[in-house]
Amino acid sequence: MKFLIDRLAFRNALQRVEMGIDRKPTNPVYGGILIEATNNSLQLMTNDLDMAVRYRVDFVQVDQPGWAVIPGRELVDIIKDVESDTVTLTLNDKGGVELQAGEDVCDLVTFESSAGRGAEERSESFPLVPALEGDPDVAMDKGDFLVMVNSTRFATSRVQDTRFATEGVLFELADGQATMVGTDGRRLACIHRPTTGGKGGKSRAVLLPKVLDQIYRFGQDEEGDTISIWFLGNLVGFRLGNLESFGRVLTGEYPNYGNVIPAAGKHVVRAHRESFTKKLRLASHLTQDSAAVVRLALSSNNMEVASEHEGRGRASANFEVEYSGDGLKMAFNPAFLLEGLKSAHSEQIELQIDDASRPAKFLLGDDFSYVVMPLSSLV
Amino acid sequence: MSRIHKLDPVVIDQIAAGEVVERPASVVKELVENALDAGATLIEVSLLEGGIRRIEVRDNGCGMAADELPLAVTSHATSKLSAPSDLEAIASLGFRGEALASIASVARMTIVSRPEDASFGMEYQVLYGRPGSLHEASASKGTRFVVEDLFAELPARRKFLKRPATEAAHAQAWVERLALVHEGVGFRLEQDGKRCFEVLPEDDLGQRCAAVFGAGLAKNMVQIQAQADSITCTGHVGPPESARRDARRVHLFLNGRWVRDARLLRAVREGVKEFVPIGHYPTLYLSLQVPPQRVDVNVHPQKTEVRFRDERLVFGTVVRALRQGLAAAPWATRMVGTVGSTVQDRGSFPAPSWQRPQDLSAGLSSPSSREGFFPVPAPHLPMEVAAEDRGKGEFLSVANTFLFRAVAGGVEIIDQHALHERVNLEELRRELRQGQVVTQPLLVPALVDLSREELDLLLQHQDKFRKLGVDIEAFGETTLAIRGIPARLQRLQPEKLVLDLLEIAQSHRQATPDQIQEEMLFSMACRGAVMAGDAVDAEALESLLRRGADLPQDRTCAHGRPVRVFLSLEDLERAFYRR
Repeated sequence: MKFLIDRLAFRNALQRVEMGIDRKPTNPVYGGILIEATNNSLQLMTNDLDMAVRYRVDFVQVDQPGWAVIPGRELVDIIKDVESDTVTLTLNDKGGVELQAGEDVCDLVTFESSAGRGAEERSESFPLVPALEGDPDVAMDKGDFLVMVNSTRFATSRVQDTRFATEGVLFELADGQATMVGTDGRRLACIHRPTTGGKGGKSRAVLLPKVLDQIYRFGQDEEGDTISIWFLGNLVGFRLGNLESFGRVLTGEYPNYGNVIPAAGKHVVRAHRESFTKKLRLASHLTQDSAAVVRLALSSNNMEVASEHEGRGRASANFEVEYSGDGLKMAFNPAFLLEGLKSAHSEQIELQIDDASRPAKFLLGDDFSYVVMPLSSLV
Repeated sequence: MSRIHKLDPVVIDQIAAGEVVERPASVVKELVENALDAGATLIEVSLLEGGIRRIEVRDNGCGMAADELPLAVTSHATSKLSAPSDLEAIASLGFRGEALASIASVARMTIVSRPEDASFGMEYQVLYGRPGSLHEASASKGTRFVVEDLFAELPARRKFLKRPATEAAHAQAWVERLALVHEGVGFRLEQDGKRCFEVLPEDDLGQRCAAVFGAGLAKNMVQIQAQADSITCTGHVGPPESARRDARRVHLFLNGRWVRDARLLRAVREGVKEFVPIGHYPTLYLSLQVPPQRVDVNVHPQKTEVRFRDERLVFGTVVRALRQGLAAAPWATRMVGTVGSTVQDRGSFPAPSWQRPQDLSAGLSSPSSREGFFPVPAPHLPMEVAAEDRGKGEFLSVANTFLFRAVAGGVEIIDQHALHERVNLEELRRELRQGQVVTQPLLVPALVDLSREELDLLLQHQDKFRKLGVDIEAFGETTLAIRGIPARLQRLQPEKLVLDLLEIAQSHRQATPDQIQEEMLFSMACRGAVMAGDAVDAEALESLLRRGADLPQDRTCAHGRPVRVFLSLEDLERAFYRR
């Protein structure tokens, strides 16, 4: 194997596969990057058994085809720091790789290598993932997909639950519509977007958040407006342009979100997103860190956001809202509200409430609802 | 066939001796207590072979007159009690009148005594209970007891003695105990001709603690005190690091008498809960002053067990003294530079140059804004971290468990789980004081399958749970629905919490509601905390440290394990042989 590649193109490609490098590999191969050089293109692949990434780089001058599994972290760091415009990688007879970048030379070991073609068929130790071939199960607008990720990812649980796989994001397909849900049992975000193609039918999987983070980070830069998704049993594969990401499907139940999202509430409040955010932030400066409580008091066309920190002081912020119901008071964790507002798509948001002890539903954009359970004082 | 007859007085004394004289240490204890009752200000004890061969106790007390000597060694002869009513209020250490007779019945005893007004002393010998001769002898003021060949005529008893070194250690323990509590009296102990313990009559309690516990530890002990009614409780308690699994370092004194009462020890454990790991006892000197008529020390011949007229009041005072003292201790707060530290000099150390001194930051550039490679000159800072400096500074997280931070004078290491647990506990308590813990109802109730009995038991506590922010209700006959959990415990897994609560309810059926509530708070604080090994982002850590700095104490976690450990520069220098 021998190829010459533009350093920046190589660096970008490595960044895309970096998340699939196992940081504490049980087998050194899982901490490696599989590089395969074929006719003027390069394919990079990583797999830490939770997620796998495959990325293709075109416009590479391949002198000899071949493949090698190279220590991943080291390669990423080296390519960050070399300064030449191009980099040459050569597989030598002893099974090592020589990396030449201008005046700088690094010799790297390989975990497995071959001068021939077909790394994915012939590699013995590198964990492989299926090729994404044929019609995808679903295709949809890339922008829509990224919005869905951004609108639900923040609400996922940060700790592993014993019963529900709430650390992941639920992805559901039915009747030409895709649904994504994130919840930690205290609040829940749910968004729908139409699909544009694929086999259709019904599918459902709880996705690993790490894969979604990776797609969210790099998806925007990939060519094409479509994301194609394959359900592959215990894996889900995504393709955007040259990027293919695979994530493990989380096992475990997922709460029935349909029961959680209330139907239209009795009281409706319309508020300006930015004012609401500012007032919440103001009040949250005078809350105790984690058990932060803000109290919302609604009166005719006004909302008061109040807070108190024992030993520091109290705050009361008022702003205009569209509301015509009776006086209504409830308490929330301000972080939950702020996170929701940050992900809102529209400048005007709607809040639907039944009473202070029932879940409050925020409409933060088209087909994007966010349900937050108010805090309660039971005595 | 043997006929019933009255026992020979010597045999009676030997039987009684079984209760009083177990080993050389008990002889030492009895003789030293006699010397103290005689008003001595200097007591010297010397032992040969751990006291098995020879015990000598000299004092400069009031001495005994010639006619008192033979009487002293007969049983039930004492100068300390006369009327039955005296038993109601015993103020002296001895009173039963058994000790000398018991000792005399199992050893060769020689008494030499001279009262102050006599011009010469008298010597009296008793051989295994058989009175010997009384004759004049030269003597200085006071009394000298020599006890030789203990149990030589009772091989059955002698067999149970341990090695001389062990017996010597037991004897020394008694001398130390008595030396601790009798301020104004000097003690000297020699073993096989070598001096191994000494306090001078003028030594104060601090110096006595230093002699008994070691100077390094005594320096870090804090004073405790509480008073209720006519009961006074004073003492010194050592830092959590000095706690041990056994109670050997607990010295409890009741009206100057060393006692080892199981229930008093329980009060001690209660008092140091949260400061000392569970199952450990602190290093403690605790002296209780209770009016003699309100306590019965005549429970056991060794007088180490006692009965109080108003137990609750006494134990309450002990618990209060310990809690208040510990809460106010310098090592109970976030101050650094006290515990575990070998820093002698509280003067100023140069702050490590990588640490940004908050109070001086206006005039200095911070390391992050530092240009070039020229180190910022290290400012001199006092040992203790300034109030505004607490909970700030740059942290290094090791193994997602420990946080290292440079502080003035050394390095502080924090256990993230222990800190979070303490923060949770104190904040939950604060919420509880204000009424109840704020509940975060769950969108989807968590369900736990239980047996009928378990479900019933939990539902009995439903109201208590509600106050603690846990909202439960029955969901069918064997399923429990958890509808809400405390809002501040973001990391809590409801199912695990409820199983913990169930266990507490099961194991504390006899406990008071307050005790159960405390246990539940502990469990919630622990379950809701980040675990060792959990990755926590920098912002959350900062917030945690800030909240820790707001607490009344963040030195130990709810289970009494340390939250913070401080290594002084001197500790570090020692580790690198720079000292």
